[in-house]
Amino acid sequence: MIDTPQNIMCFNKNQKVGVINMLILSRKQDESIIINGNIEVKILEIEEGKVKLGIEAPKDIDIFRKELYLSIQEENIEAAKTKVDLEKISKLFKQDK
Amino acid sequence: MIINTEIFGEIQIDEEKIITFPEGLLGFENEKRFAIINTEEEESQFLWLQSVDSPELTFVIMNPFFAFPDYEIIIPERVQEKLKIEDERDVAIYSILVVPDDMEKITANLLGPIIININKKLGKQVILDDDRYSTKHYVFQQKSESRSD
Repeated sequence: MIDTPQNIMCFNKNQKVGVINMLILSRKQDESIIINGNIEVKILEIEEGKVKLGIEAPKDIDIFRKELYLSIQEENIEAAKTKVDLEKISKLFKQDK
Repeated sequence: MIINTEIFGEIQIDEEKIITFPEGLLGFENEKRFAIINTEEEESQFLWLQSVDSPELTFVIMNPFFAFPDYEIIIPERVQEKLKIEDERDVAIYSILVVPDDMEKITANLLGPIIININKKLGKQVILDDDRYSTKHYVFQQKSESRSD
């Protein structure tokens, strides 16, 4: 069932390209994988083009939808570029009220 | 302690006011210590979140409930545990702002708020599982709802 690890191309934000090992395997509905002995990922439902996953993990493990994770990362990076005068913003806010 | 900042120069910060972010912020995972700075004498809705270790890293933050009174956050249990939150009065919530040249178009990230346990000086950026919120909400009411860009 488990294929040999395959090399895939990985792109990160800075457009650097790296090669990482990705384990690729097949699972049927109601089957699981165990990661690191304490994280279980179960296939709950398979529909056309969509898989529903159930994830059980220790509470200190953060699990995110990747697109949300990336959008917040990007937003933080954009926010960090801000170089403004705080007084100016405050004034603007007072005008607004 | 004295911290070095690009915007304010060297500033004196009470060591007790430094907030530890054990996981950093998303995209800034190595930044574990921040201080919240208010440059105005009176209480301002806008504050700075200054990295203690990187002088050039400063965010503009605000109390989101001031601009978005209907904003709702459910703090997941695992976050409460991580931040050792025992009393809701210990919780402070901030949104990171993006301030473009046209300051009328300041946006707040309501999807990824910063949650701080003021008592324990612990902070974490949380990703809400709530599709009402995105990373860009206009802080000032836009005259026209349609975005020109």
